[in-house]
Amino acid sequence: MKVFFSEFLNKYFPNIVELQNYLYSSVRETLVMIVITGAIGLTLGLFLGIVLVVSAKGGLYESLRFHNVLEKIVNIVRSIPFVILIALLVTFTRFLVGTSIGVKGAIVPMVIGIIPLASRLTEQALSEMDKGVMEAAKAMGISKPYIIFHVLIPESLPGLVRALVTCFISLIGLTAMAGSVGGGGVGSFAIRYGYNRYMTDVTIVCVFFLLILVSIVQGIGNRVVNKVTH
Amino acid sequence: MHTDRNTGGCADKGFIRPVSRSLPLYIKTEIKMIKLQHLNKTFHTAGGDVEALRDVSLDIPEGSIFGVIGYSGAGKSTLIRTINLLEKPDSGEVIVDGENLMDLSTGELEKKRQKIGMIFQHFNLLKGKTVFENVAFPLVYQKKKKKEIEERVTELLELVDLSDKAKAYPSQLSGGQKQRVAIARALAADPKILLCDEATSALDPQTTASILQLLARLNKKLNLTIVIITHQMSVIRDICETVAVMEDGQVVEQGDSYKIFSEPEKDITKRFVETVFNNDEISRLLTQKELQDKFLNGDRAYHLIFRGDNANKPYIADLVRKFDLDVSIIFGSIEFVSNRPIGSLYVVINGSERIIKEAISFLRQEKVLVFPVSEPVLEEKVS
Ligand SMILES: Nc1ncnc2c1ncn2[C@@H]1O[C@H](COP(=O)(O)OP(=O)(O)OP(=O)(O)O)[C@@H](O)[C@H]1O
Ligand SMILES: [Mg+2]
Repeated sequence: MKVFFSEFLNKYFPNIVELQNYLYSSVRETLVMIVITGAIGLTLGLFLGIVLVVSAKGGLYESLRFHNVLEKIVNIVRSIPFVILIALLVTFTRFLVGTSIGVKGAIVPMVIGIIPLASRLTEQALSEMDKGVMEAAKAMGISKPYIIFHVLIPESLPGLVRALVTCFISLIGLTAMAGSVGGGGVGSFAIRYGYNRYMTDVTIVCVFFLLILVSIVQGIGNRVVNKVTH
Repeated sequence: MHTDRNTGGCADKGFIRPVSRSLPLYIKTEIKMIKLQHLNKTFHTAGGDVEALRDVSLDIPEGSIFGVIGYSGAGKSTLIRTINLLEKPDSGEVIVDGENLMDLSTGELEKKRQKIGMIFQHFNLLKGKTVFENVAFPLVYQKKKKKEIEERVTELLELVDLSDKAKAYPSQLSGGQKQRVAIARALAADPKILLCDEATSALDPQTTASILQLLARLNKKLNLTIVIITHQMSVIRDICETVAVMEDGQVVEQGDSYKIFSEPEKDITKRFVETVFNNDEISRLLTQKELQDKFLNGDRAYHLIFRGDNANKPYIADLVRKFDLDVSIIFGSIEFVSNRPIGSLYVVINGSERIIKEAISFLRQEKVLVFPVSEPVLEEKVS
């Protein structure tokens, strides 16, 4: 069995076998990028999404002018294609983390790139909240911050988790793209060997890995959604 | 915890209470729990200004059940929402239990709101929390001790007859049960006032009756002042002692329920009164084309509503004798408002148009309400 398996690999995935250490480190880099940018980007996105919702018309801290400015900024950043965002942010990235390439260099544009999406999706999930429930909480004499953290967010949990899953999946796409312009990870592995050197088996394995990653995230997400939906 | 805070004036309140006529009126009305004075509120919308409240003043006595009725858009919700300042009036005073709410700081207002319970048409429960957690929610916010919360919630669930549903989620409950949870939650902080905005409008007649019964019981047991917003006159009939009728942002008529039912003055009030006595089956029967041709021979059917103390007056005999009209009685019934009877008769009158007109104005002088029977209108659903 074992012999058969290694023969199979040698026959159909010769380059992968040869570059397996590179593969492992790329996978690790990708995971690191996703975890770090996810932690930072999604937290900031979530925060901005909440700010957008509570400052909107009829929100707890209604402030239309502020809301409109914030919304414009988010929309502008969102409309910039990611590859161009990376180029645009080179100087800023260097200033912040000392380099604009590799995993470190990729994190900054990825965080900036995911925030608009994360805040938009958060805003959407939160604005589905039943206004009557918020009103009932107000009528009970509950303070605004408490309403945000104990009514708005928990009651929107299923929608928020769905939003997070979508963001994570987009992030996986971003890591691949960042990799293609020198960011490291599975993306750069696929470009450097699979694309530039015609090693189709490398491309296939990279795609396969990303697919698995996406389905794992989606699977976990669905489970959590089921758990928090009553 | 629920010591009976009853004052003598409320001791005999049941579901349908005899209005305690024997008590001098001033005792009942002495303590005002809610005083609304000259409230005005205009909404500025893209489609123009909407005057939702126009110089509205109301006094609501402690321990009473006060009804506000009006058609959709009359400003009822806006009015009830001023009582806990969810809606801030442009001008006027809101005085609750002796305190002017407009003078309170945000923190003080929040404290005050804890003493004013509110329930809604769509229940507004927290979907992600169990029945127990929903009722406990305001207590948790007030940082009550865990044990105290547990006791209080258990007691409240018993009060609304839902002890067995503590662990259920709102999605697993019927509408009536959801409203019971909402009531328990609204009462958690032991408020003196309960505001009900169309609380029974999403419920079927049986469930409505049971919720109203519960409210009447709470009113009696806790000496709770209850304000009920509704577009159903039957709700007023069943539990309100006093009622205010709203139209176009104004209170056009108010008073003791029996008086409003028996001697409505404004047209809108009369229409509301008729809805209670209206028998849709009979109306439908009397307005069907084929039936009309067959049985009525072009005669008109009328719906008469008269007070109990006038019931022994021979109105029908008068119509026959004085006006020489043919009158046949189709259907009669009696409704009780505040335990006093109000009669309802469907009659078909045959005679010359002029004399019928005279007869009707005679009846109206005698304070009998006369409505030509028209096709039943499906009751409008309130959003
Ligand atoms: N927040 C708001 N912004 C703009 N207009 C409003 C607002 N709230 C209420 N109105 C308007 O004020 C008027 C009174 O509304 P309100 O909700 O008090 O009526 P209502 O008597 O409760 O009606 P319903 O029986 O349909 O609930 C309506 O014309 C409504 O459109
Ligand atoms: Mg309303």
